[in-house]
Amino acid sequence: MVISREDLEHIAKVARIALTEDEINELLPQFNEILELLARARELPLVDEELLSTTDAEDEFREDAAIPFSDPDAIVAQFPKKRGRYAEVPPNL
Amino acid sequence: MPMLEETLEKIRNGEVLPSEHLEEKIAIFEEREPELNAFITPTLDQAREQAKNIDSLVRQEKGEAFYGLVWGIKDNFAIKGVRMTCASKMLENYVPPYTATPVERIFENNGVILGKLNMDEFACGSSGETSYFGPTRNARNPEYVPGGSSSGAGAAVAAGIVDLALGSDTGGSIRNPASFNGVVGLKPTYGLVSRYGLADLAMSLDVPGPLASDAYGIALAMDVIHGYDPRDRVSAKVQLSFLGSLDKFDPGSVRIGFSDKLLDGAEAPVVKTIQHVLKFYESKGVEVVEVDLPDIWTAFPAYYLVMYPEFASAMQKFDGIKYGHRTDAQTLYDVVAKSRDEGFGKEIKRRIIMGTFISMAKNAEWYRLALRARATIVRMFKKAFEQVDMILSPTVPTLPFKLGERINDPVKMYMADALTVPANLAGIPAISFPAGWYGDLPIGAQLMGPRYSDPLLVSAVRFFEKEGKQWSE
Amino acid sequence: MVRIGFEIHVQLKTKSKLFCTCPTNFLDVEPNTNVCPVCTAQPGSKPNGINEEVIRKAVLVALALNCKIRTEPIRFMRKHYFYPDLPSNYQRTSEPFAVDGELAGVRIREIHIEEDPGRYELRDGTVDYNRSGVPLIEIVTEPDMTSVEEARDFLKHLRAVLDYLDVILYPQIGFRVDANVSIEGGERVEVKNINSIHGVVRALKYEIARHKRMLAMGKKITRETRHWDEVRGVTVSLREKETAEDYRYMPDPDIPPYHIDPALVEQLRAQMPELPHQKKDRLVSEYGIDESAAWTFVLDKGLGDLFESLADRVGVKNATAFCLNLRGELNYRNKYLSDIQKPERLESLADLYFSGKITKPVYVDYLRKVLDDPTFVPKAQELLSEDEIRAIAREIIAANPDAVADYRNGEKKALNFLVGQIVAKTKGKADPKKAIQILRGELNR
Repeated sequence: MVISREDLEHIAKVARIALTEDEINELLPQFNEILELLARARELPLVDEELLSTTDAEDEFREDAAIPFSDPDAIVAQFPKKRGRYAEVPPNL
Repeated sequence: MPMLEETLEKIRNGEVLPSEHLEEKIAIFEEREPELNAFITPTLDQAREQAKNIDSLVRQEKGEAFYGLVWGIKDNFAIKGVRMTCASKMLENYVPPYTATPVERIFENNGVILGKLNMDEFACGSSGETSYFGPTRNARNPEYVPGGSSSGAGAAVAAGIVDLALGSDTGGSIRNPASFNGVVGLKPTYGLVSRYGLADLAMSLDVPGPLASDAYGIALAMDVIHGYDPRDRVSAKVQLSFLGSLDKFDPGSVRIGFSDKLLDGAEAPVVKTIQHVLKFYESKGVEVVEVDLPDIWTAFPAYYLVMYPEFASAMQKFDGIKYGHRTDAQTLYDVVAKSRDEGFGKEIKRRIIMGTFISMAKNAEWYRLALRARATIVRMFKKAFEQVDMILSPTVPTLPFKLGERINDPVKMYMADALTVPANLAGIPAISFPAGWYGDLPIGAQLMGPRYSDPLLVSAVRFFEKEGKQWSE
Repeated sequence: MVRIGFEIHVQLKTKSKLFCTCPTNFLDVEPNTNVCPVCTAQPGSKPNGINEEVIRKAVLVALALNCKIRTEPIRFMRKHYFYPDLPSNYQRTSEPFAVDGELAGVRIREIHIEEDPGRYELRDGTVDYNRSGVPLIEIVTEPDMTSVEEARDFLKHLRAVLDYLDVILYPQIGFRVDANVSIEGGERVEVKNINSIHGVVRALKYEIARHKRMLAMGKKITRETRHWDEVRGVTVSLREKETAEDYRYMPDPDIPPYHIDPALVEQLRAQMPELPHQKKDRLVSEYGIDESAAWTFVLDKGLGDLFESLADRVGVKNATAFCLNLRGELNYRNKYLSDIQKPERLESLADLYFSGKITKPVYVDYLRKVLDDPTFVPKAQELLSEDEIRAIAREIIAANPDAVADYRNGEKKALNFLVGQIVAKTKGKADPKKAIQILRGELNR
């Protein structure tokens, strides 16, 4: 087994997913099955190079011009809870 | 179904107005949609408004490039003012404040948008079954899955509800539903089409692309949607001509690579279809070359090891604070954790947790393994494309399966992607096209080529459409 | 022995944010108006490329701190943690683009670029994303400082360099500092969230005293992160949960690695403005003032500029006296000259005083007013005429027969007392020299 029950509970906490008991019972064997499958990659003859992306884009910089977004109100309108123009969350004292 | 070229010609010469064309499409929508569930948010009113404007353009002999052809947009592309759900409860009521670049280009080129299409939740799935808004059904046989994750796109194009659809492909999400529904779907070269406004799945693999009933539609769509976008830093400064090269496929000058390895584990009708296609090209003078693809099965673990951490990272933003589903609670931690737990479906949580695990500092070895596996795949293709211009394979090793058959077996579900994920890892273009039928179930073939060979792949499919015949049993 | 090192966050002066075109003037606008899909992490948005000016300013700082600029590709990493001010719940932070620098005897380990988060008001539970995406550089020093004084000295030098380069977005905000401090026999403790040099001094004094007390009581000092509470003047331990976060660093797939072009580095090196130590040398050689006064002036850029301007107008000696006095008043207020609104008022004040249009007590009074009251404008006094002074002198003589008697008995001090009475009575409108003259005349009549 790659992941233990305690591992899974810890990972869920880091990932901010509040898993129920049933979900843990269902997910735990699935994770281990998947990870064991993926672990086979270790036995494959891999090249000694790490590749992050296949983009050809050059690292061109952007000119420093301030262009305000046309509709900030549409962003504010999406806040699930708001106070005036602020997004609202529980205070942290 | 009339060919797209004919439809376009009728609009252009005034025989049919864009509004009339739209009404024909809406009639099909009314008839098929209740069964297929291909749409999450239809936008009929806006579409009618748009078509009316294009009517007057067409009268002035304007209206390029789409002249009111009808599009469906996968619901992971932002359109300002139109709900974007990503087929998730998390975004059930999310209205984006901006429009995705490819969609902007469709609007500018007089494509009429009929609505937002169903998909697997956050594009995570190969069957169209993980949508919070219910599964989409296969347009050819509703007992079967339509493939995923661009499930609504595949079904809507196949049913003739839309002329063209915009999908996204991270590990096969355009090609898989194209194959299962018997339509054409192109996963372009990574960076050829801007991702700006496409909700992330795995940022280094995601690419938007079109689905259409034929190669002509793909070329028409690609000429509009591809090209450099300063808002997406991975987009390439490359301009290609798709319609210009559509009919220029020269069999005598093309070499197709093939390896029996690509048929490992494939179902018999799929094997026969691919052999049939290979024979067709050979009979037309294409040189078929045996290529060595020793690492092709490395792609499968590599894909998941790359995708999971990128996905987990991308999904961090959903916290119930700025937009999306919010569960109220006393503490900050609980607001975020409960909003995420309630807002995300099972497969999403599965992938986030896997990705979080792999990207933890103590598991760095897993992620590095993924990057090495990726480099291995890229080198393998590079070598292969020194010998050949394209590689033929099945799109999916199996026939479409029935709804509910695999949904609780993630590993089996993941295996459906084995032949589509290599192109994403290598950033190369790949096209799926209808090549055979097993009863009423379509079978797709896939062509992969080197980076920026996209127009050549489309022309090869066009050649098959014109000169060849689909296999059937 | 005490060991102190810093991580210093500087908001860079640019027009637009690091990865989007939103304006950076977050202090001057309504909440959540400098926001766009990119800096609020709307689904589907992508970073729009790196702001060129950020690179220029960052390299300029690195060169001024004598760093080596790296030429290999530099990646932006995602640093994951959930916090309401961080819209994507990861912070984009680059690998170091400059290493191995030195300033005022302190080694600079590295400098990298980051995006600033928004603002989460812990007590109100409100979030404003105007600041989200504003470009920052983080300067990391080696733990080379061995006392609070050295630490303060280094930060003053750094601040001066940044002011000379004109790279700070809001000079009134300055920079934010995380300090790490250890004393012999204890582990390293990091104190986060200090907003001023004065605050750093207070936090370090508090923390060093705390460490010494702990060790004296036989307690262990363990490695931890603490938060500086400016209002209460104490450091507070952050809860375990927050410090044990796994940031899951990952290269950002949306941003291709960037290169710093050596040609750009050379171009910036050639454009480098005069730096504080160069100006110090120049003031010494050009004006003949002593080293210590020169350092005092150049470490506050505004003050150094004022000195030069005044030296030409009122003479080196007067300018030196004026600026040293001014520095004392600013120190008392923990301010830089740039914190003072309409600083040109200081020049007119010096002109008035050194041209004899105001008296010394009035000058002292005016200086404080200029520093504390942004609306106060120094004006020439209406000085009293000799006749008016004489009338008042007579009143004072009449009212103080004892002092007058003392004076006549040869008590010199009595004269000073009487002059003081005149100055007080005239509220400084009488020129003291004239007052003495007239008073003497009246007393000797």
